[in-house]
Amino acid sequence: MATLAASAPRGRIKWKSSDLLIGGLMVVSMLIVIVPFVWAFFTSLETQKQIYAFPPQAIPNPLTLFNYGVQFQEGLAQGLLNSAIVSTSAVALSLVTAAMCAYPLARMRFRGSNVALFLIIAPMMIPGLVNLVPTYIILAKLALLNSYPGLILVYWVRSLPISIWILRGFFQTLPGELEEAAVVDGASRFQVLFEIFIPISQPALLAVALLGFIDSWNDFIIASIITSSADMRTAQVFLYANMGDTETNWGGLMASAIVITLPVVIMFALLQRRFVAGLTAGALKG
Amino acid sequence: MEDVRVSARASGEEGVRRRSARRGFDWFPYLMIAPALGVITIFSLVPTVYGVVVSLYTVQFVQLLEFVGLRNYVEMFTDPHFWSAFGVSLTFTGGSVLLEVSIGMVLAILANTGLRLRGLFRVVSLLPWVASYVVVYLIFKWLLNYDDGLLNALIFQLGGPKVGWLNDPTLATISLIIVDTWRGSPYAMILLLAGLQTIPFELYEAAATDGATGWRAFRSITLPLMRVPVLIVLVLLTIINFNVVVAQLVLTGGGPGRATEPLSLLMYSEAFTYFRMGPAASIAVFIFALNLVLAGAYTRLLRAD
Amino acid sequence: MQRRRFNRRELLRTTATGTALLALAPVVDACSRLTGGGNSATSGTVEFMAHFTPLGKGPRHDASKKIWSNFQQKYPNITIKWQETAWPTIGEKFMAAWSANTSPDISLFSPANIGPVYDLGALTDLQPYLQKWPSSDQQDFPKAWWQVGTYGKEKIICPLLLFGNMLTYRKSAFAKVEVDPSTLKTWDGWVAALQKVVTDGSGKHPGDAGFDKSTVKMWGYGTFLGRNTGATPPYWTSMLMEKTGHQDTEPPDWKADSWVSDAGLSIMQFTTDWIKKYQILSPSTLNMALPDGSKFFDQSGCAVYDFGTNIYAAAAAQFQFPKDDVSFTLSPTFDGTKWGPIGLNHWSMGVSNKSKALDPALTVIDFWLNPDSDLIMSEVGGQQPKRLSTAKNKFFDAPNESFMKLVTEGLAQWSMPDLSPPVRTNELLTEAYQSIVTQNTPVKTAMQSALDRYNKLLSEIPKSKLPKV
Repeated sequence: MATLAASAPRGRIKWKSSDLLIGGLMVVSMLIVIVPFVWAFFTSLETQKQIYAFPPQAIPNPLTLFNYGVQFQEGLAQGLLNSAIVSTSAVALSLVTAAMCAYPLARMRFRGSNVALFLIIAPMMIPGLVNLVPTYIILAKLALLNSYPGLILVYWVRSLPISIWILRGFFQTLPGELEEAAVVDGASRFQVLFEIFIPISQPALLAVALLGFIDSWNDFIIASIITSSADMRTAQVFLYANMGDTETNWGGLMASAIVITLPVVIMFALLQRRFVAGLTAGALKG
Repeated sequence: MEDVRVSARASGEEGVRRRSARRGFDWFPYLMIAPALGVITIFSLVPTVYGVVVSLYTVQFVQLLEFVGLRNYVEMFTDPHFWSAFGVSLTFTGGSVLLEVSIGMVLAILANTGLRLRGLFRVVSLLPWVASYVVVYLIFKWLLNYDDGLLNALIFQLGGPKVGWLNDPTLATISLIIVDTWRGSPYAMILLLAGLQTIPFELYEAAATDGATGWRAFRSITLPLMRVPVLIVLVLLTIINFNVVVAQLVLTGGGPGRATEPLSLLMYSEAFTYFRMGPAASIAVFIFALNLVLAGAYTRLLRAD
Repeated sequence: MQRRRFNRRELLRTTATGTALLALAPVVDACSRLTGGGNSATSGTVEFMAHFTPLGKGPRHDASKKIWSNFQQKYPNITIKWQETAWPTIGEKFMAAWSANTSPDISLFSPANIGPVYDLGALTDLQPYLQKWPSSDQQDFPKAWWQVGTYGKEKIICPLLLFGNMLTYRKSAFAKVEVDPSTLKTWDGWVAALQKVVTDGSGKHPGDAGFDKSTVKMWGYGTFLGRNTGATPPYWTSMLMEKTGHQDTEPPDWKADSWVSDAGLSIMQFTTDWIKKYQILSPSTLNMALPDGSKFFDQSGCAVYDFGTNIYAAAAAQFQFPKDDVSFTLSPTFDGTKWGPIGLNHWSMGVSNKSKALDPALTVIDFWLNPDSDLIMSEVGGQQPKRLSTAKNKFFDAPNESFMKLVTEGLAQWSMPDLSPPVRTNELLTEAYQSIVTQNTPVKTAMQSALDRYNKLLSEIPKSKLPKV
């Protein structure tokens, strides 16, 4: 793991161009990325009248937090809470079951392992639309619609294929001596998994958790089909409600969008180093 | 007491193999994969299989009516709309994937440097992928709006004519590819960055002492060692891009005419505008087959080195 | 040998779990059915799905809130559980829920949804209950209201919102070119007037040499024509009605041959020329959804807009110009002898035929249609009055509400009931329109191609399920 160095080596690649050029490219690239977000940010601070004004004002005056207030009044907090509960639970379930599943697939040979692997990876290749209505019907028959368990189940299942793929790849890179030593010490295989592999796999687990969380947090289509009441709406479904049938509440839409994106951005900012290290080891071994 | 045979290779492909003496089977692997596989079967495979079976019937919404075998597929392959959508899918996916991988590679290289700026750079570069995609597309729809979009306002101020970014068939196709690239490059960047970081720095050092730096180092060290990550990213992005539908729905609705209507959107409108689940499912199966073929191609290429 | 047995076992185990869970389903189903008791005309729980409910914000939501509080006072033992759903998905959601036996008791339907829902056979016939109304109530609703959602002897939906369209125009824009729109009774007259209104950066008009459409500040006509937005080519049905006396597809056989008839082709040629030849309609219209279109007018992007009375109030709140710069008129005809027919659009209440709360649901519908509620929908919700008695209220004499009176009068003169064909037509027509304008497809080719597709989709519906008049 040492060569994976969470940071690029200090003595870096000597390009002909200077650091100034690299830095310059970085800044230009960041600017290109940031323009739509800056525009969204300013829009969130304007009233509907200011938003409609044409030509658009460069920096609106006066700025107001009115939109944010209204969004929170209309249920943004509840939406965030629902998203948080659902995404976190789905991720937790996914981590445990994916690790359990990835371990034998990575380290053991058993009859049916290839079939199992195929059954796990194949769902990724099928367009999600095709199982949308059948999934809805199954959930309806189990009386899980418009509920936390229903959403959690679907997100959990959605994140499993890629989680298992990454963890399996990661487990494959771990040296066999780890298990040998543990078995010699009398550990059961459960213990090998939970007490040795998992602690050492933190970067990969982190990567899996973050990917799964982002995917669940940002999903709109599934949540809009499964939820039907205001108190169960996830953040994205709530966000969409700003697009009414007769007009779009642009200011509110942008305000909510920003508030909803923040948690994930902060999470990633804090964890980005370890996230990359985790992917490195797992995802790219095929 | 059970026998334990351990054989571990450096790549870790073969791990612990346990052989019991006389007893029944080794339950362990099956027990471990059961929860994941079980949930996937019930909530992913069963609905998918049902959704696919629907393509062999005439259906009333989701009620199966009459088994018609491959009729839906025959009709699909003889429908000019299908072929135009297929063409749009190929253009859109091809363009987007190429751009996303290239730009992602550049971003990854930048993010892999030693500059202190790189932390901020990584986070900011990831924003497009992390933000809510519906809102992202709405923002771009407005930015590219002919009458009051920021882009045309700027061009107009500079004295140029307003451009129909989303109103002209060719321009709309290009705009969609660019918007999708903007959104998808971070995903490529992250995966490629992880790949770059597996390349031991010592290799570059060794090359530097031989006088190979910059572009030459890139060509002789980075590119070959990045083959696998690049291939993986290519396949992942291809699968993802074939399924993109909200972008087209929000930005152009598939227009003008059918210029920006890929297979994914055709499938969506068959399912939810006309409620023809059978034809929608047959398109989905086609896309699935396409993805399988591509994944197979990737595997072969990967094994080839 | 052991191994093979093993393989099958694994398969069995997963299948068993799956089957077990699916087998549980009917049990769960049955249990939930047992708990649905206690329904009568004055007690029970009703699930009501709509895109505006007392739970949200906006004029129609507020109207619902008021009606609901009145309702709760009169029927304290009926509980209404609201499901607020985005309007573009309300049809699919109802159908999916009905297929899964979890549909709400009452839902709102728009013309686009009625056809498929009728095909599914999912709604209760309400005619027997409506016939029980006192005759004064029955006559208080206009003929158009009764026609909506009526198939033969069955009436499966009751309009809650009725609306028609009217032309809304900027007085100042027309004053500048010295035209009074309320005198324009022909389409040719309108086109000529709008060509005068549209000016590019150097003062040129459409048709002048060197007219540059990229410098136009205010276009003429405004609407939305994006794909997959629910748009229809402008005035398609009303123009056909004038020229042929029929709508484009009608029961009992729902043929759409009018699409390639001389009348149909000339109409499509005319309206696509609004963008191509006469240049009174902005090309960006092809990318607009409903909110984009009204926003365009709000920003003075066009001088005229075709508003439905249901959204006018909300749009007016966003005008970037003084509200009194706006006036209304009805749409013209080709021959100018009278005003054009007004298409009746609606959002209507229907009751699922799988509902276990039929009696309280009927009470709810009844209440939502009574005179007080109708007035609240107009006063608070900004909606067109449904009842003839409501329309006589002094409220509609105010200048701000005058447009509703205009449309009510127009509807009385010449209204076109919405027929809700079994196959959705508007998307097919919009596609054709777009390809004619942007890809220069000949009108005949585009319309024939649209008709072929329509016929194919129509042939998939068993004859017995086609709605007859």
